[in-house]
Amino acid sequence: MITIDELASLIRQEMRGKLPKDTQIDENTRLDSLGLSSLQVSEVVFTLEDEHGVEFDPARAANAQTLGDLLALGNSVLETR
Amino acid sequence: MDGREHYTFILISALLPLFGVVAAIVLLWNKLVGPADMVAFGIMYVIAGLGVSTGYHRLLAHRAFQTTRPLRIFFAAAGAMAGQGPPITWVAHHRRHHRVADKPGDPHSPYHDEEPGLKGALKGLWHAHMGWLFERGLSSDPMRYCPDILRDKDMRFISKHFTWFVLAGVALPGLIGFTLTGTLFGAMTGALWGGLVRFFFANHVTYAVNSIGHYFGRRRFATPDESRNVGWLALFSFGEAWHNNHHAFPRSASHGMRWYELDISALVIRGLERLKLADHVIRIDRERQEAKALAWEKLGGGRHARSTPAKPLAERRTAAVGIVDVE
Ligand SMILES: [Zn+2]
Ligand SMILES: [Zn+2]
Repeated sequence: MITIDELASLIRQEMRGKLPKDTQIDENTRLDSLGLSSLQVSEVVFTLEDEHGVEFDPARAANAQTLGDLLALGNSVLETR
Repeated sequence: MDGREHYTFILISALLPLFGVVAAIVLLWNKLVGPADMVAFGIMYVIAGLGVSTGYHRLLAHRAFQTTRPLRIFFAAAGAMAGQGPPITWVAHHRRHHRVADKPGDPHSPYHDEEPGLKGALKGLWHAHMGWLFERGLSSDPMRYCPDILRDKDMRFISKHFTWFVLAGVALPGLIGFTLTGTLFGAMTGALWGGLVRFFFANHVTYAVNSIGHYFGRRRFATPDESRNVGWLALFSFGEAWHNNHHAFPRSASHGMRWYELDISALVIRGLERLKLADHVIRIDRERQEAKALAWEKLGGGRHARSTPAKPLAERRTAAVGIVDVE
């Protein structure tokens, strides 16, 4: 199970300092509102893949708009395992 | 790197080599160019050229062969040193180009916004050559076009630190210059010739494949685009100029399809195969070529011919990306 905290900390790590400390990150946060580049998004997605040993469907990952979408996608893959 | 950062990079990478060439001409004029500069130029031209042709294009974008991890990293790093963009961006744009070649959505077609007459033709050629790089809105979502490259940690690393590889592409010939001459001046002119001047020539050859290679030359296969085989560009493009052959069989490791069609990149791949450093090399035999040629002949080729599916992948929200579709 991937949690929002795990995702949020990955994102903070990826943004390294460029994200203000008090930025709220939750399920409803939009990926584009954080200012993540496509490379940074993929870094997050594929790090999750590595750590949980699953494969996301890239087309569906590309359609994810919020962090909640991304979590749902990852966890649905984890469940079917 | 994307968005504004990428745009700034493109501007610099277009202008700096131009200044470099001007500086080089001045030096040439004053006979301040030595054999060491030519060596630096030659070595770097080959490294960057193979990086783009064998690495970025055939290995990464089309998966024409497989190789060991160190070689994959070497080819991608060499391609990055060419200064045409990070591997992820390059591959995404390129696969999109194949997907909708010379049709709406193609990032660099000379028929992009067709206007009549010579002026329109020149405008189209310029757009396909370099103009497309300056288009601010252009982006090909790598998650859709090259998830396989994104999944590769090494490729993400090179893409992320791309600028350093470009700088290495200037520092390395400087080092060659210094080693050969033992002087700081030699290091500087080495960096100038093997770095900036080399960027200029090598990149214009790549751009020419995109512009001239879709405009002037012979068409062996009636592909649903305007790709051409441009023999005189074959040597300096390391075989990339057999562009009609390539659009006909994108995954083929060899773009030259006859014994007389010089394709250095294909020779390199064959050499690696002999050394057991490459496998799964994609070959298209003569029989398959003839069969496909016949089938296309019936459909009638060119940019108005139908290709399926008609829409660029990135614009289909729910499309499952079949890698086979885009490479
Ligand atoms: Zn093409
Ligand atoms: Zn190609």
